[in-house]
Amino acid sequence: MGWRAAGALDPGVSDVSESDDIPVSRRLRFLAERTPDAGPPLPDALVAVFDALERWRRSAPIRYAGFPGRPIERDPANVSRYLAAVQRTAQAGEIAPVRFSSDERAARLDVFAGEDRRCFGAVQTVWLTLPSAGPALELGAIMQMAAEVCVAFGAHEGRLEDERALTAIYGSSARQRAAAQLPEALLEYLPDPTAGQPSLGIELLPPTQIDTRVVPAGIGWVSVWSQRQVEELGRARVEHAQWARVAPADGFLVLALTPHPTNIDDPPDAQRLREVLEALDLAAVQRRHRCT
Amino acid sequence: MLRSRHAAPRRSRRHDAYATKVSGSPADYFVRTPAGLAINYDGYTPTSRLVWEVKVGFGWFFNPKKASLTAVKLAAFDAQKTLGLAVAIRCSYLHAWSIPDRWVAGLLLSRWGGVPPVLSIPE
Repeated sequence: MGWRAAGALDPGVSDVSESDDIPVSRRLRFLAERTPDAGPPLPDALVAVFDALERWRRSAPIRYAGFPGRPIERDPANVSRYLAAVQRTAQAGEIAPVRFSSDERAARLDVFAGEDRRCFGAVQTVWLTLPSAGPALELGAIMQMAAEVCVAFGAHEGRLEDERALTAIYGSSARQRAAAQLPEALLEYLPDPTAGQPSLGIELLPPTQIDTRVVPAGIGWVSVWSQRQVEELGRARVEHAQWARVAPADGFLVLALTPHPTNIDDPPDAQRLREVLEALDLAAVQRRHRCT
Repeated sequence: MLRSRHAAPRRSRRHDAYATKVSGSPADYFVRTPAGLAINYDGYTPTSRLVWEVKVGFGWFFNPKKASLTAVKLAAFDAQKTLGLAVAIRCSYLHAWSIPDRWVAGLLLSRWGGVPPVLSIPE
């Protein structure tokens, strides 16, 4: 896979300008994950991600690190020093997120980096906030940004998550996994995250329970899937599902479920998600790659 | 696999009362692994080998006007969860969280795939 910017998406949709007063979306986030040995070293990858994000939102460049943010020069050496400082404090038991932002406190754009243990080893994640409206949230701009972030980060998957969809899709299996670890006396305090959520009739395994290098963790408004993931699901099946838009980008397939941010409280959007999940048989493919 | 562990004093009245109720222990619980990873859990329940993290006061969490702060807090929770699990696994503890607000608890439970379990024990 090359490390150039994605080229097969709509030209001219990046470099969007926007008003400064558009609030951050409460529900939407974009997340990409990789294995530590994939792509460039983490500091270089993060700087490349910041560059991609600046092409998406020129008015909100990443200029701060930490919380509250302190100005940071955007180069790998400085990012590396900041990451090392966070790691040192974490080892001493003082926990702080790895945060980069466009503004010192209430930022228009926040970018977080983290690590997680999975059944197949460690993964590194980068996730970011999105605006609640405006040109940066238009489909073409989001697909371009998603592809460029995944390429820059060396990701094996990217997905635009909606918080309500997250609990509706993963809540049930997450609850089962939690219940299996707890003493019986505590089970009555385990909440049901799906209570009050629209039922999709399909449950997926959370990313922590599958090999996400091979099978996608889920379907967001926009999903970025690697060739390996697409082949595992069946290329023809993926390409012929009821997507709003599909675009290839540097070893990935960028898939948009709906023309607007998918809202599972909206019956047509929920139906579209259900149809695509069924067409791909994603739940069954995930079960084949289940790991704990 | 422990290098050190000991009870540690607490700092906030509301949080501490909740930690005492949830864990059944009157003090925090500091653990350091041989590799130097350290964390101050919000309590230890010896009968179940549970080490706890508890949170109170997150009624603002779903306020749209605080979306950026919510994201910062979520990322901090992620980092705390990862460290808490890493230490617990190395020391053969079971790690669990509890948050009275069941919506926040449900969100974290889904976000983390059930590991660690996130309970919603009332205050």
